[in-house]
Amino acid sequence: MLISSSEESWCDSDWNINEEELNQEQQELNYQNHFAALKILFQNNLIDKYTFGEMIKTPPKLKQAPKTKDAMTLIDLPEEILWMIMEYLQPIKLGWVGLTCKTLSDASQNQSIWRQIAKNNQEMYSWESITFYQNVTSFNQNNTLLGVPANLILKMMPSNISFDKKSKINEKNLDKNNNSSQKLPLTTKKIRLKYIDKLQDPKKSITEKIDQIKLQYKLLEQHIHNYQEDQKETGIDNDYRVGDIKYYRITIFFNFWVALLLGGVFIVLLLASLKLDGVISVKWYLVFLPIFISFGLLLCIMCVMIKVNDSDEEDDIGLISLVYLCLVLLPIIIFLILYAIYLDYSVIDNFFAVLAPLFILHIVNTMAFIFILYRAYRDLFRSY
Amino acid sequence: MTELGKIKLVSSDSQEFEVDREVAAMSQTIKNLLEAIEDENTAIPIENVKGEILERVIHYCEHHYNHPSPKNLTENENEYERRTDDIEPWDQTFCNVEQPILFELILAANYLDIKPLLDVCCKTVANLIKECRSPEEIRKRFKIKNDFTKEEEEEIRKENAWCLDEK
Repeated sequence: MLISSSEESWCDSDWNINEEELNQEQQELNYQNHFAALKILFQNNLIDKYTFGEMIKTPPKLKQAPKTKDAMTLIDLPEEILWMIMEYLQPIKLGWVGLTCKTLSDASQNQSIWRQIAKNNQEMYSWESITFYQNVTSFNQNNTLLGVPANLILKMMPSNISFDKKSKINEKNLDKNNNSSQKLPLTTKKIRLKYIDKLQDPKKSITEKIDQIKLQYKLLEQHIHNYQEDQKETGIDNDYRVGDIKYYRITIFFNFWVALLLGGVFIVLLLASLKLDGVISVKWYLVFLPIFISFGLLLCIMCVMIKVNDSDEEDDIGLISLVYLCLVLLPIIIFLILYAIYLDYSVIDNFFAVLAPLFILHIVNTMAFIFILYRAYRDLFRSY
Repeated sequence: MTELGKIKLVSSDSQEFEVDREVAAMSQTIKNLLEAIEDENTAIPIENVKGEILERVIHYCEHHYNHPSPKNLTENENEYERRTDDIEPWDQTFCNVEQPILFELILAANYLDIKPLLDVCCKTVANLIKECRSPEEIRKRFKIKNDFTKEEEEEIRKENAWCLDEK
């Protein structure tokens, strides 16, 4: 049996209460099996305690028959069944059904909304996880807006706001008078949420789920409206991510000049070595070359990253960190190896005299990058 | 005593039906019960399902147990409007009953967790709706009482004007 002993004893005690009353009827009607089955139904939660009690009190023979109505109509069907039926209807017929009565109107409306959602986001319809876009700094304060699909945000946006292909919400021509183009704070954060967890909650009816979505729309709409008002009044761009992009750009700018400087130094040294053979040995190039190449590579990679990162910078932070740190550490490691192999103490003074400024640049660059990383990760963690 | 391999189902109006275990197990609800029952002779009460309906359900299960239909591979779960034109002829005849019976079949299928029966009944109802040419016809066919106030009806008609134009 599936039932624990404690549950069984509880059921037995309940059973015993009615035993005397029931014995005669049971014997008379030979319904022992019937009651045993009833008990199983009850124990397996297929009938509730009340029904169980009622069914014991009322012998099956005398029991009132079916709970269902003699002449059921469409609107007597439970919501879930209506939902299933409506899934088979075309939009027009669905609309017509909604015009017949209040019950079907609600069901039809919910089905329409749901269908629209499904159309916009097939993932949702198949009950899979969905990607939502929202501004964390603005929306996380009340958490009520979690779970609004991007495409639906788009639908309810005022016409002058749109999603671009990278799932950003851009505000276009908010102020047509000055043709300014600004970003809403919604642009910045991409969060993956398990919307399914909310909408697949079996305790919630479909109507509740739809109501939840409607509420989210309203709140989001209100937020956008408020934001637009704030923007008009203050003109403050509170998109903190823009700041991060600036830091990336500063790093690129910095690296560009470092690479240029290193290249210049390298060329000068190369030329000098041709003229002053023996003063600067080939060992210097072995030290210099990897540093120069690494800064150059770093510059290229950062340029590519900044282009990619315009939309989802946080997704690539890990990658950037890895590449950047490898490139920063690489020349230092190479230098240490080369130093251990080739350099001796007699040239150490010359060596540091040439490389010291570069090392300082290198350290500053690394620190700048660590600062950017700190900011990016801090924002990332704050958002969650 | 029930025959070997058979079980007894008791409807809400105390009608008893002897059914093959495998046939009855097409209902997920009964299947679960059967796994829990130790005594094979135990009669299983099917509450909320009248004898008349239970008989039809058993008939459906017996038919489909003996004539399993090929799995519909074309059914796409992600389609927004699912097909209703793929009901097998036998099922069409089976569902060609008065509306109250059809609705009770739906409830029984839902309670007993017999998905194919539930699907086919829902499709039949959807087809009945599709045959209607206006909201009024839907009301008439399904004996639905218009419970909108005049204002409400006006408003909802405005909201749904797009579909009224398509008549």
